[in-house]
Amino acid sequence: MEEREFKSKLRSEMTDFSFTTLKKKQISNQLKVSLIRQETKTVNSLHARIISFWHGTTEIPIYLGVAALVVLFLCAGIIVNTFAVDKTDARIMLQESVANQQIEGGDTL
Amino acid sequence: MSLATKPLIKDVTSLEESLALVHRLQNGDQEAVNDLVALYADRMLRTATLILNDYHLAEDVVQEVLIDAITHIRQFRGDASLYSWIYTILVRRCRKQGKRRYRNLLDVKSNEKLNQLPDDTPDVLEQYILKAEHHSVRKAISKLSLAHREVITLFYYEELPLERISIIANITLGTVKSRLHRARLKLKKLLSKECG
Repeated sequence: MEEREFKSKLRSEMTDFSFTTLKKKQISNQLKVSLIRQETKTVNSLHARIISFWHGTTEIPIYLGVAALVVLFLCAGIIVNTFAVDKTDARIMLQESVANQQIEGGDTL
Repeated sequence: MSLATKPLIKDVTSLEESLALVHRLQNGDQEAVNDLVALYADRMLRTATLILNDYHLAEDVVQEVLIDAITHIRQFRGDASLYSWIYTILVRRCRKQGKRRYRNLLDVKSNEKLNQLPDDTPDVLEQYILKAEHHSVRKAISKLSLAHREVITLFYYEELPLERISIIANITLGTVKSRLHRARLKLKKLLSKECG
């Protein structure tokens, strides 16, 4: 038997073997479940990695730590706002103080 | 187009297409799963049936291999084509299943006190498994040993070059050549017997 003939015969004999449409659908569904599970696992593993890193380096619970950081940022914002200088206010105050000084100076002369 | 003039079986997708499919799978595209099954399932089933000599076992193996591929799809870096990657898993899984089944059959035989196996045990095994074979070429292939069936399937059915068979089957090029040579000689004998 020629090589080419052998290959052709083998291929034609093997065409009998195939999955049924139902079986293919079942496999697809199974694979989709695996794919979703895999995605969830990846997300979970990232979350788990962050938690383990946090607990490996500090004894403060992660949620308490996050809350403390939020409070810290809020406080920092308030402090910055309190000490922030408004340019218009500063100009008026400066002008007033200069005018006062001039009046006081005029009185002495 | 007649079978004799049909082009050789090659990768079902180009490298770009296969990488695009991998990318979609890695991004969790559910439609890509349908494409994967449509592209590879039947072809893998035929290859596994030839190697394992058992359609039902081949069905299970293909299913397992596809699940395995999906589970590890994020680890696929695109060094080879998706086809090569999946077929490497398939061939290894077939080898494992084939050996396991061979051991199980030997256990059954010894339990039944029929363990008077001659030196060429693989042939006896194939005779034991395949009684209802009708197809001449496949029947002849089924009488080869697992290692020989593996290379014959990859060379003649998948029409892969020797270098690629060596990668997929994880054996040296020399081993592929020698196995193929021996398998061919055996096959020639078997086919001449078949054809009378």
